[in-house]
Parts: sequence; C-alpha cells; structure tokens
Amino acid sequence: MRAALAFALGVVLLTSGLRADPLPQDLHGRFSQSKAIAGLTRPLLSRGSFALSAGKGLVWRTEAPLRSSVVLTARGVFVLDQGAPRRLGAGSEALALMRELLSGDAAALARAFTVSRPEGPPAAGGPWRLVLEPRPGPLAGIFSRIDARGGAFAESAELLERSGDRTNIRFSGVQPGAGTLDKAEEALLAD
Amino acid sequence: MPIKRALALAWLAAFAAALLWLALRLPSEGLETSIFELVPWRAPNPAARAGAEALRRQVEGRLLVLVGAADPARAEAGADAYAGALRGVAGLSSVACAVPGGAAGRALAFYASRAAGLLSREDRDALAGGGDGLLQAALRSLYLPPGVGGSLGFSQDPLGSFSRWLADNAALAGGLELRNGRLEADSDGRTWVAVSAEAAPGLDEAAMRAMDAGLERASAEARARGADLILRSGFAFHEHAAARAAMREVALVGSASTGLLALLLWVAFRRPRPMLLALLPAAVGCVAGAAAVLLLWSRVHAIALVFGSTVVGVADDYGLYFLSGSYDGPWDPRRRARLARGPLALAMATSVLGYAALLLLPIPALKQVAVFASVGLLADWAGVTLWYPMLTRGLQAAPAGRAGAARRLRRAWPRWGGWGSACVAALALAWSAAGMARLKVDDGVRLLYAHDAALDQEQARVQAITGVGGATGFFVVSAPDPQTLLRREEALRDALAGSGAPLWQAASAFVPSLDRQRADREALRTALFGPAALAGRLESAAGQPGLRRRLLRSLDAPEPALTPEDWLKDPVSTPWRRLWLPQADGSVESLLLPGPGLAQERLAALAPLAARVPGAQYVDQIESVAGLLGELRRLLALVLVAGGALVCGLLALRLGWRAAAAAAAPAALGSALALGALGWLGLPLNLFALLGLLLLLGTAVDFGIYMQDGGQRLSSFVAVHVAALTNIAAVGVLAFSSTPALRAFGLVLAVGCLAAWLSAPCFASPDEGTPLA
Repeated sequence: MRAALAFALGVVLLTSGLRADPLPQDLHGRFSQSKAIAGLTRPLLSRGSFALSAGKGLVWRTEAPLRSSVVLTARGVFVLDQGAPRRLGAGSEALALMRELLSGDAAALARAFTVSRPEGPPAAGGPWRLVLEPRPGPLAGIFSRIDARGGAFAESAELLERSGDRTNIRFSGVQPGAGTLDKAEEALLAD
Repeated sequence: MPIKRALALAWLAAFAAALLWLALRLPSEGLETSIFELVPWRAPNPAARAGAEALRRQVEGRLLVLVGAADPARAEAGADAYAGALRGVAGLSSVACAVPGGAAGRALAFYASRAAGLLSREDRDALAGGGDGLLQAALRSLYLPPGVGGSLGFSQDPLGSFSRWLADNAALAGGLELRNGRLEADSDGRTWVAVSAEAAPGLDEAAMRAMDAGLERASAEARARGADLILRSGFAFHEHAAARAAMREVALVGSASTGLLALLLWVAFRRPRPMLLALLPAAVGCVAGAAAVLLLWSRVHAIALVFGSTVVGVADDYGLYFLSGSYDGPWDPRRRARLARGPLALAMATSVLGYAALLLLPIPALKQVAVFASVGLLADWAGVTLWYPMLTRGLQAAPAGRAGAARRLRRAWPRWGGWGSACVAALALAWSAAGMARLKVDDGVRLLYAHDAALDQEQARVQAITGVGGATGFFVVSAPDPQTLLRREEALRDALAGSGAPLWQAASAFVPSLDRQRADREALRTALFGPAALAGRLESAAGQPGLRRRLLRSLDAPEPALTPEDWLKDPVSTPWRRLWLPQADGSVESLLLPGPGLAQERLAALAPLAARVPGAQYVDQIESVAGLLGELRRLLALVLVAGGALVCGLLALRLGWRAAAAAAAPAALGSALALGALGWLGLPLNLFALLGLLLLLGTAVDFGIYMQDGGQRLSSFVAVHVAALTNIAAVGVLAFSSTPALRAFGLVLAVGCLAAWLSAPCFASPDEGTPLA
C-alpha cells in the first residue's frame, strides 16, 4: 500500500503543468532528495533524474549514492535495481488517479485531494504554491500533505507521510521533452 | 392341491411381511453413500478423511466468477452489477465483490508487533549466508522516493524482511490482488474482477432452476454495464449443468424407454392383464431383495439398492417366459406351469449362482447387491411358479395372426450348423477380438459425470488467471497439540520447498511455530549484530551514527509471541481458518493446499515427502476414487470369470455338455461382441462396463436355457424376443446417455443383449421339450 505514495511525485510534476496548455506534456529534469526518516538522526541525501511521459508514466531514477529506478505507470509501481523489475502492490485509487492525470483529467486531482493555493492563483508563468491534502480514504491513512512550489515548472515539493517521514525534493533543469530512458524503463512504460 | 396352495399362501404372507418391513425400515434408514465404503481397506485414515470432508464442504458451495473487460472501469462496473444482481437470488449467500476496507491495514497492524520473528524462506536463507544482498537492498530502499519503501518504518523493519514476509503471504491467495477495494487480476489483455458467492447445497429442481435463472440475469446485467467476458467456476455450476443434462436425459430416455416397453408388451400380449403380469415380477423382486438386505445389514449402501434393483429388473424374465405360453395354442395354466417349471428353475438357479459369486468379494456393498439380486430373483421365481397358474386362469391364447407371424419368423431364423454359421461366428469373434485389442482401461472419475465443455473451459481459465484451484491433491497433517502441528507443517513445507514447491497455503505460513519465531528472531539478530555486522555496516554506509545502538535496543524490546490462538481470533485469519481443523479430542489437524502455480501433475511426485514427517499424509480424493474404481474393476473381472464358470458347470450338470455349450453360447457371444463394440467405439473399459457384463450374464444365459429346454416351442422363441427387447428398451437406451460411465454400461448391455437375442434361436434344441423332473 505504501507504494501507492510514490505517485505523489507524479502528481506534483503533472500538476506543475496544470497551468500550461495543452495538458499534460512530457517533462524531464534532475532532482535532489532529502529524506528524513523517523528513527534516523540525519537526513538521507540522494540525487538523480526523472522523465515524465504524458499518457504513459513517470521514471524516477536515483543515481547517487546508489542506482535504482522506480517506474510508475497506470498498471502499477515497478522497482528496477538488479535483475527483473519488481512490482510493488499499489492501491488502485492511486493508480486510477495517476491514469486520470496522465490522460489530462485535471478535475481528478480535486476528487482525491483538498487542493489549496495559500498564495492565491498564480499569474501566467509566475510562481505558484499548491498544497494537497488527501481526502478521507486509504490514501489519507498513510499520507498527510504535499506542499509544492514552482514557476514555469515544478521547483520543489515537500511530502509528509503519516509515519513521520518527511521528504524534500528540489527539481532542477526541468524542461519539456521525453528525456533519455534505458531499455528496461522504456519497456515498462510501453506496456 | 393343498400343498401348492399352502406354499402360495406362505409366499404371499412372506411377501406381505417383506413389504411391511420395508415400509417400516426404509424411511428411517440412513443410506451409506460414501464411495470409500465400497472398498473399506482403500479408505483413507480418519484424519485424511476428515480433512477431505472438510475441504469438500468448503469447496462445494463456493462460486467464483471473473467479470472481465479490456477497460478496468467497465470490468469493475460489470462486476458490481453482477454482484448486485446475485444478492437477490434465492439459494445464494455471502455474495462478495468489494473487499472490506482496510483489510491490508488490519493485517499489517496484527503482524507488525511480531515483525522480528517473521522471515520469508528466501530471507532466512539469505541471512544464513551472511545477508550481504539484504544489506544492499536495505540501503537502496533508503533512497527510494517517498512511499516506495516497505510496509513498516525503517526502525522496525531495517532489512525489509517483514515487508517481504507480508507480501509473500498476500501472494498465497493467488493471482488476484486487492485494488480499488476489489480483488482483481490482469490477464489476456483484460482486467478481471472477482465476484464470489456461496451456493446452498442439495437444492431441488425448482430452486436450482431459479438460481440458474438468477445467474443468467446477473451475467446479462454485467454485460449491459460493459463486461465483455464472464468466466464461471465452482462446483455448483457443474452440478447444475449435470443436473440439467440428467433431467433432459431422464425425460428423453425415460419416455423413450417407457414407450418402447409398453409398445413391446402390447405387441406381444395385447391385453392389459398379461402386460401387467409381465411387469409385476420386477416390482416384487425389488421389494423382496431390499427387505432381505435391510434385514441382514444395519447400514445399507445406496449403490446396493440402485444396482440391485437394476439387476432384478433386467435379469427377471420369468413372468414373460410364463406368459409367452399363450403362443403355444389354447391357454392351459396347469400345463404351462408344468412345462415352464424346468427352464424357470434352471434360469433362476444360474442367475442366482452368478450373482452369488459377488459374495466372494470382501466388499459389503457388493455382498448386498448379491443378496438383493439373489433373494429378489428367488422371490420372483417362486411367485411366478406358485401364483401365475392361478393368476392367468382364463387367459386368451395369442391372436392367430400374431402367432402365425412369430411362427414364420422362427422358420426363417438361421440355424447353427455347417460352414456358413461357423464363418459368421468366426467373423463376429474376429471383429470382437480386433475391438478388444483397442480397449483402453480408464477408471477416471470424470466418467461419472456429464461434462459441459464450455464450463470446463471457463473453469480452466479461472484457474489459470487466479493461479489456484486446479489441483485436487493436498496434505493433511495431524498432531496432539498446535505447536507440534506447526512444527510438523514447517518440516513438511521445508521438504516440499527443497523439491521446488515452496508455495503452500498453510497455517504455519501465517503463524510460524514458536520455535521457528525464536530461531528467526535469533537469525535476524545474529546477522545484524554478529560477525556479519549488518547493523554497523548500515550505520556507516548511510551515515547514521548511533543507528546500530538504536536497532539493538528496538530488537531487544520484548515482542509478543504469535500463537495460532491469537491468529484464529483475529479477523486476519478469516480467509484461512478453513486450513485449521481442531478435533474433538483436543488434537489438531491442518490442511496444506497447493499454492499458486502448483500443477496437479507435480503433486503426485511430491506425495512421498509426507512419509518424512510424522502425522503427515497426502490425500487426493479424485485419484483415490479412481484407484478404488480400478480395484473394484479388477475384482469384478474375477467374479465374472468365477460366476461364468459356476453357471457353465451347473448347465453341464443339468443339460449335458453339448446342450450346456449351446445354452451358454449366446451369453458368451454377447459378451465378446459387447467388449468388441466398446473397443471400436473408443469407450473405456471400466467398472461400469463390467457391471454391464454381469447383468448380461444373468439375462443372456436365460435366453440360452429357454432355447434348450423346449427349444421348438413357439413360446420360448417369443419369450427370448420379448425379454431381450424389453432389456434393451429399459437399460440399453442408456447407451445414448451423456454420462460416459452410463454410456459404457448401456452399450455393453444393448450390444450384448442384441447379440444374445439374435443368436439364441440359432442354437435352439430340436426337441419339443419335456418338463425336467
């Protein structure tokens, strides 16, 4: 079930394009992640790249300190590290939302989350902030809040889990286009 | 004749007593129906039997329907509509499509407090080997994006071993996974949504029809909501389909058979009284046979009653023979009685002797058949010889036209003798031999049921998609107490995993024994803090000073042990409670059912592993029933040989060698041709074909006897025709049944009777017949 949460990243990236027209679009870029895990003294730092493919899914590739890829599609969440991809049991509420967002259904977001914009509606291309709180349901049991900021594209996101884990992500070099994928990632997206 | 009258009255009194006894006993009598009762020494021991019984009860009522569509939303809508429509159907209960919310959360909450003692087999092996792979995986998972980690937080499950244990157990349920609050699977380009229900057992015809109509309606509604394929599985679907086929068949075969019988008797006798008297003995014999069986045994097997009455119905042609005397000119009951006495006595004696051979078998149910048939035939014979002279007073002779036709037919009938008949017989026997060479033995249980090919296919697809349910074999483990049972299960599962079959639905998969929990906790501890020092390496690789100390503290915190008692009380065990079978004496039994992807073919090879674990045994109901049918078949073949020899001996004693050979020839020819026909038609040789032969023996020998003693009397000729044709009409029509076992049975009888009928007049003795002393 926790695997369901991975889609939160997809949500952030997709919603960053919500203001653009047409919806959605291919994006790729780099990220750095700082994860504060309950019971650990120091945050865990990592970095890597991502590629969002409209209508297909998201590839989240951690490159340092260890290599692994997470591929999110409407069929599920897959982890690629060594050997064959492992499929993680993903709740289908999350997958349905992912599917709807990937296909450009912006209203789907409001069905799953209370969406607020503490800094008001953004000016065209100007900075924005989006706070998502899951509506009651299985998602809410695991996950408390996503706080995302951006301009032309997403710039940062903070994800809070009920377990107390807190993840901060900074996006950089985000630009339209599919980015480069390896064979295994490509295959998972194409399915 | 005072003695005769006294005997007749005594017979009537005995019969009335039998009727009364039957009326009093039968309704209260619990009939034995278990097929294992047939061969007591093949019956599995009580533990296996109870396990098989428990499993059967669970399986029989369960329906699992997969509603499929290429678009998941349509499949879900279709499944919801299907389940909604089923909820109103009488006879169906526990209709479920949606899974109660939070099921996964509940399992996590229940097991999480015991996380350190729960290791999957792979992780146990990995830890024993140092656990480097687990360390790498744990490190990697620390850097995964949020939400992709394990089920528990890092501090409770540092190596992710508990998450994997939980995932493994969730996978034991098969290819269906929890999505959107439903159980779903993806296969063949479709999403399948499961709908399950319980069908009430033992429905009568109208209730069955109503339920089937409800199921059809549900399918239609699911299709209307966008489902494009619906796959049905479950015993009830097959049972209902077989019942529908049987009802069609009973209606068709029953009316064809009754019509043919009535037509035959009308053609032969034309008057209501002889027609009635021709049928009466079968009813009398059934009453007498059933009463005798109930008198001698306290537990009577249903098969004894069913087969016994068939035997009596077929083998009993005494009334017909007596009445055919109306073809021998003006009716004189006394003269007819005198002439018929000898052949009837011999016919009765040979049949009773043949069926008494069944007493040689150490099988209670077949002994009951023997008694039923012998007593029934004896009562018939006595009734016919004692009462028919009185009951047929004033009977009219057969109409001249009909007698003339019979006479002309007899004159035209070929006679045995010369090269011509030898050639025909040789040809027939060669044809039979070639057919018999093609005979295949098949004792499979599938032959006992009419199969609906479409349903079989749907069931196979459901099994392929869900990965479970295709295998009929399983293990039963018993032990004096729960912990011993769990240890034995674990020993068995270890042995099975060693043979490449690690996935079993078993209580110990969900509740390891206390010993194993202790050992697993120790293994985890040793890997983390012992020479492999996984905790320390994790600490330095992730840059987390103090991590090792904190993990040590959390692992040392006391964990409550997981016991089967706790597990059984908690809702998490609901789908699996059926595996756990507490016994009245305080001991426990449990089932190990094949997990996903374990095919039936592999099970037989795994069966011997049960010998390595005390209290464990392998059970396969289907296979053991087939083995049992095979054993019965071999025994019955012996009885047929022994019975045939006894009958030939008696005939030789009474008639002399030549006439005995002529009397036995039609039965021998009939049996050979029946077996040949089975072979040529590709029908299997099994218990039911041999039962057909046994019946044939009883009736075909009578034909031979009638054509020996008084072979030139028209009445004998007519009796053989009517008796053979009524047998074919009554039982031979089963050759058209859709149930393979009945088809073989009916075919043997039809072909055998036909051959015996056509050949018997060829061997007719030249004499007019004198009543034997």
